Formats: sequence, C-alpha cells, structure tokens
Amino acid sequence: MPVLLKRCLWYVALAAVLALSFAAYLRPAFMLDLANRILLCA
Amino acid sequence: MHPETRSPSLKTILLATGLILTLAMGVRHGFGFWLQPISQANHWTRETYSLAMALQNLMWGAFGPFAGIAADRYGTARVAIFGALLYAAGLLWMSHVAQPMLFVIGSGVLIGGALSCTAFGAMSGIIGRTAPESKRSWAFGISGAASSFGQFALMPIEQQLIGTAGWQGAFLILAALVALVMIPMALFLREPKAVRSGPQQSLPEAIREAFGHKPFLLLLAGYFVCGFQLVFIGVHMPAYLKDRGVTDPGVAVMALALIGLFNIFGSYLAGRLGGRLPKRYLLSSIYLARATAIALFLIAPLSPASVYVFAAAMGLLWLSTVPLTNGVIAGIFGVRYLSMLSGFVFFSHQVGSFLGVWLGGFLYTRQGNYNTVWMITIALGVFAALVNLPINEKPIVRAQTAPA
Repeated sequence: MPVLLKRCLWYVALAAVLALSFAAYLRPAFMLDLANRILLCA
Repeated sequence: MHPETRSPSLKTILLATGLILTLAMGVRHGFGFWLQPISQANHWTRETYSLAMALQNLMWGAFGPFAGIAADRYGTARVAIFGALLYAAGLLWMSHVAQPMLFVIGSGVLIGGALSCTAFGAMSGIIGRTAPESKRSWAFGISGAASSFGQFALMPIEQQLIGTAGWQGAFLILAALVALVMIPMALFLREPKAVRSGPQQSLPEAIREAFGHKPFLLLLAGYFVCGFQLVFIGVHMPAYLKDRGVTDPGVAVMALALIGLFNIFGSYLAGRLGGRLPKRYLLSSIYLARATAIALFLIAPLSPASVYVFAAAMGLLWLSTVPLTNGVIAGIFGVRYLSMLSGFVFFSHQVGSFLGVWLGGFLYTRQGNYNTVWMITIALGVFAALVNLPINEKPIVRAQTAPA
C-alpha cells in the first residue's frame, strides 16, 4: 500500500475515533449525568 | 522476567506505552462519576469520596520519584506490571470497601501508587532512551497525546459502564481491563540492561546534580504553576460559570469536551514543535498564552461562545507542557535517570494542583468570589513564562569519573 494512502487511512481512522468520542459527550444521558455532577460540585 | 537482549523499536514502545497511558490517565479521569452512587450506597457524605480523590492525587505525586527510581533501576516493564496490579487492586478495593477511612487510605495509596508507576513520569525514561534525540520530543508528544486521548475518550465509556453494569460492576470491569491490557503491554517494555545503565553516575549524585542545577529548579517552579492553573480551572470553572449566570450545565459539559479534544492536539503539537524550536521558549509561550487566555476570558462578556473559545484555547495549552518539560530534562541530564527526575518535577506539579484546588475553595469561602484566585492564576502564568526563559537547555557537562 502506498505510504500516502496508508497515512490518509490513519488520519481518517483517527478523525473517526475522535468524532465518535466527541459525539459520546453529546448523548443526552451523558450530558445529564455530567451536568448533575457539575451541579453537585458547584 | 528474562532480560531482553535487543532494544524494542520506537514504534513498539510508543504503542505499548500509549495504551498503558491511555488507560492509566483515562480510568482515573472518570472517577467523578462514582461520587454520587458510591456515596449513596455506602451512606457517606460527599467529603469521604472527595478526600479519597485528593489523597490519590497527592500520593501520585509523592510516589512519583520512587516509581521513577524503580523504573530507571529495575526497568519500566517491571514497574508497569506492578502498577497495573496496584491499579486493579485499587479498583477492586474501591468496589468493595465501605468503611470510610479504609476506603480513603486504601484507594489513595493503591491508585496513587498505580498512577506513579503507569503514567507519564514512569514511562518517560524508556521513551527517552528509545527515541533518537532528533525524534525524542515528537515521541513525548505522541505519549502526551495518548494520555490526553485517554482522558477524553474514557469518560463517556465509564459513565456508560456505570449505567449498564452498576457502579461496583463498572469498577470490576475496569480492573479486569487494566490488568488484561497493561500487563501484556508492559511485557513489550523490556530493555537490555546495557541500555538502562548509561553513564556512570550514582542515584544520589544524579539527585544532587539536578537539585544543584538552576534550570531544574526553574522547571520545578514552572510545573508547579501548571498544576495550580489546570486543577483550579478544572475543578472551580463550573462553579464560576454558575456564579456568573451561566446556569445551563450543558455549557460546562461542552467546555469539558472541548478541553479534552483540543488537549490531544495541543500535546502532540507541543511535542512536535519541541523538536524544532527551543523548548524553553515554547514553554514560556504556553504559560504566557494561558495567562492571556484567562485574562481575555475574564475581561470579555461571558457567554456560551466565550466559554467554548476559552475551553478550546485552554485545551490546546492543557498538557502541552508535559512533553516539553520532560524533553528539557532529557536534553540537560540525559535519559539515564529520566523517570526519576520526571517524578520529581511531577511532584511539584501535584503540590501546585493541591494548592490550586484548595486555595480556590478557601478564598471563595472568605471572599464570596473567585476574583483573587483568578488574579493569582494570571500572575503565576506570567511568573512561569519568565522563569522558563533563562533555562539553559544545553546538556550538563560532567567531570569524567575514573573507572572503578
């Protein structure tokens, strides 16, 4: 596999993982749980 | 464990330490989610669990130099395996012990000790020894990014685990994950003894040399500020937003997500730039940029948008000091005692963290606002920017010792 293509695939995979992780923060259940925790600390 | 005869490749080291760092930093980052269920189940006040978390952080810093000494002397692999076992034991302890003092002391010592054996300080030695000098800073950047990624990615996973397996079940699953991933990864970190031995210098000599060398003391001072700023902002920011009228907790959640995401890029970028530019100037710029970002955030009208911009900026600057600080240490003192010296500077970081979180609460209780602590945070940023400037990054010149 050409080096450039391999590198591109790496970047795409990395971006996908980061996007999925970020999306996990936006799930309503997670938002609510974290918000409760923040309110508890505040 | 049989000693290796061949040094592992840089790719192997980065992959193995990357996975260990991801788990080590990630698992502890989500501990806040257990506050409510564990306190409810055990009929504790919030103070018990908070005290355990505070003790974990202090122990992490206090054990750091000793874990570093062990990693430099007996090898990173052994220390990482010991750390993984401590981590798993600490998680099991947290899932089963309901007596408050036993919980606080046990989890504080076990998890604190585990972190000192599996986080950046303990791993830095082998990374520094394996990477050629031209790639060292980049390699530290990769490891810093792995630590940041762990913090970012594992939080939602841990929250989901508690929801599906219950708080005790989640601890057990994480204990198994830590043991099953970290121990096999640690086996890739075996080095031949010759690589670890390096130049002839005893441990006390190395400690005396570091603490007698001005740049090391300046790094300690800078890292203290790093800990102070990050933990003050991380802990007190939601309360500050609430005080200032940003009552939607979703804003704080999004801010945390942005800090986490940008932290990954910041750590990597800092390591990469550290290989091309003088690290002292980069460190100085980071501290100055933090002070500027905080000042602008306080001056600008507060809105969700200003919070998001501030979070992204602070995220970029969050752990970016880690690869650079360790890079300067490796450049000046070499890599023979790198884990130990990293442990010492990290201890200074943790003292700063402790003071940041404590002083924030202390002054808020007395003054009813965070104004003074914000000012201290800005002043410390300027101070750290100034103390990093005169650091001489040149390798220390040692007198030749006669062979024994």
